[in-house]
Amino acid sequence: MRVITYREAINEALAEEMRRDPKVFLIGEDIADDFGGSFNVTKGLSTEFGCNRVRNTPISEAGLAGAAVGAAMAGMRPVAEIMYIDFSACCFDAIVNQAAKIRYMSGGQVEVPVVFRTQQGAGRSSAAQHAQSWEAIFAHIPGLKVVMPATPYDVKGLLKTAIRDQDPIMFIEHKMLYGEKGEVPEEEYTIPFGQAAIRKEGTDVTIIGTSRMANFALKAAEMLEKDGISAEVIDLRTIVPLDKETIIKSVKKTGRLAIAQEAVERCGFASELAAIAMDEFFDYLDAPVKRVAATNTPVAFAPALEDFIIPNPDKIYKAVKGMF
Amino acid sequence: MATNINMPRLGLTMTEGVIVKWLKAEGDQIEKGEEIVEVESDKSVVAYEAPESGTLLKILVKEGDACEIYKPMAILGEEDESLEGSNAKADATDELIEKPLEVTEAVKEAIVCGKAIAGFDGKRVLISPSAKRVAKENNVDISLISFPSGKKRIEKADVMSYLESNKVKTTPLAAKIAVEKGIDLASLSKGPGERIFSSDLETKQPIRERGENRFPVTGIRKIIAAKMKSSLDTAAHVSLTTEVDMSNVMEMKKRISDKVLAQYRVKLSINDIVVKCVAKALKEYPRINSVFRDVEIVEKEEINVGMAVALDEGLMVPVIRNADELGLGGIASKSKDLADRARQGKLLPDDYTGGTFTVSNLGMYEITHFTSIINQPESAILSVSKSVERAVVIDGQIMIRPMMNLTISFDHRPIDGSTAAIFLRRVKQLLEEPYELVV
Repeated sequence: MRVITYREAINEALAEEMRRDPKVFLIGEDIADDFGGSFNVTKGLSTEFGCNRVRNTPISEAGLAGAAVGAAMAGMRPVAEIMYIDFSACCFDAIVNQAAKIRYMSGGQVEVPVVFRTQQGAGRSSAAQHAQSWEAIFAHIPGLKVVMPATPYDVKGLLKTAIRDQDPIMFIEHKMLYGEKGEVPEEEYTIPFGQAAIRKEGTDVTIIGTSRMANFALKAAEMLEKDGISAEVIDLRTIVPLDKETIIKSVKKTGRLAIAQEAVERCGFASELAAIAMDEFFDYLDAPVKRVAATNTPVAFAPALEDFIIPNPDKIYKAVKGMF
Repeated sequence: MATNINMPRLGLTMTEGVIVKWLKAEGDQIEKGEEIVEVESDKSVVAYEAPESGTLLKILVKEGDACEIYKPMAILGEEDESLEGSNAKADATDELIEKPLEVTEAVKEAIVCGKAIAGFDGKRVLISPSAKRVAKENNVDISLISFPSGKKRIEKADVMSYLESNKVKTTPLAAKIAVEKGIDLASLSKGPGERIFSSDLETKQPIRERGENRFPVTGIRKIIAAKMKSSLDTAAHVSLTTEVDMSNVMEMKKRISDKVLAQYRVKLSINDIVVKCVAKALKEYPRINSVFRDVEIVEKEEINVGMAVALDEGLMVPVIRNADELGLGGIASKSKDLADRARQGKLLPDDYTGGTFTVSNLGMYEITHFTSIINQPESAILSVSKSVERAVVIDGQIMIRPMMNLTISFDHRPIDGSTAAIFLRRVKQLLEEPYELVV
């Protein structure tokens, strides 16, 4: 199968959906050619589809997000790019008070099929205002779906599903994954929401990760394998909706659950999963649930400090070892 | 150098042990490992072995007395050793108590139930939820699982391996015979891992399966259940008891029973006389013969005395109508007729409805006192017990008299305690002076 990058996979998904449905359009800061987006994801799209369907906006997240929500309510299918998830603070109202609520408050009469494409995470000294991981903040808001793809294959299939979905989506990419390569078929496919992927089967411990942490968990699992510990790695792919069944089935088999999360530990999604473990399969646990997460601090600029703060395969490996 | 022999901890829940028996006496020479004392914990009696050799210098806790765990039961030392100035005395134990129990293989062997002590944090066995669940599902006593070395808690896998190692191993033929004969293989005690052969089963008696028999609640049982429960739920039940000297009733019965037999072809019973006395008293105290209907109390002029009749399948209360208007012979013949037909299942609805008061008699079952549940909508029920010859004091003399307990259970809503008491006293008077019946 052909191998393309995560970035190229997103670009393909956008192009295919824009060709399929004239209502799909892109809106964001510097997304049109020649620049093609801060992370080069939308390169070439304004050339193919024109500046009406790939719209550059002033540097105002509140403006572009509000326009996207309004367009979605009016029947369009906007894909809005919020350059860094950190900037979503500027358009928080449009996302959580407008997009997430309108279907409910209108009694189902008005749908808001908007996709907020954004990226998060640390790894290249982006510092405290450009490296946060905020999935839990949006997962906390009823009415939003939260997608966190880890591979080129997943990012393409999930983005196509997101664009076709009738609800507002936080589509959270990872800045360190854009260059990651993986097999992606040339033919059309989509990936349904709420279906976790078992990235590696194992018998002794379940490690859950999403986005970049799913890849790190896989690396940690390889290290554990050498020590005779067979880890099962689950990539949730979407955290809302959540594939509880796959998690429950896995932990009932392994008896141990570790969760890798790039966000700070406090009130993170890993804590939610740990609480689910208590509710749903406490009697199947052989050890306390372990969270491997960032320290409860802003992300540092200094590379050494950033390494200290953010989880990596070695930290996951050590934490899981400590569960035995 | 003298040392203490301390009360061992024989189980996780044990806080003290009782000395059942000293197997050695003061002054005895003891070899290490020799059984010296039998100790009873909350679970079992265990012979405790001497931790080291020496002479049993002093027994500190005598047989039958309790001793806290880790506190000294006795002092061991060398022959002729003086205990003066020795460290080993009854109260010099703080150090020993604070020290966590050292878990060696020897300790494990000596302490029968102590296999889980390595995982014992002072309060509970450290075991994972998963392991605990599997143990519960398989009825495994978690205190018997050896604590896995190098682990933080007992895990599911440890329970599984415990189950595996304690599994009863058997030859195929033995298994087949066991099933046929209904023998529980677990009851054959063989060493762990040792196989059970068919020859092991030969002497074994099949285990009798003791099941249970179930009866659907239908028909008369359903009615009884509903009536009894509803009566207790609605009536304010109170009971009063008195005892009656039955001498005169006995005498009267002796004198007239032949005449009753001749005229009515029925044997007069004490119960018939009780019913007659009750009917007379009910006429005098109509409140006892009443129905409580929330907004009104209805005193019945008809005096219909029900008599509880035990049947194989339950209880019937046929009614002697207008009992106050019948003579003793009439009551005797009516009551025999009703009882016979009740037992044959030939009662008609008129025979068991319309009662205004009930008499229940368990005297024939040697019952000397009981209370009854009111047969609603009636307001009271009399429980008649067996009359028993007893020594009673009459006019300062001890006399032997047949005494019988009478208990009235009444509904306190229409009937006050004094009303019921006066009625009961009247029944007692009539029974003690039965000649008044002819007045």
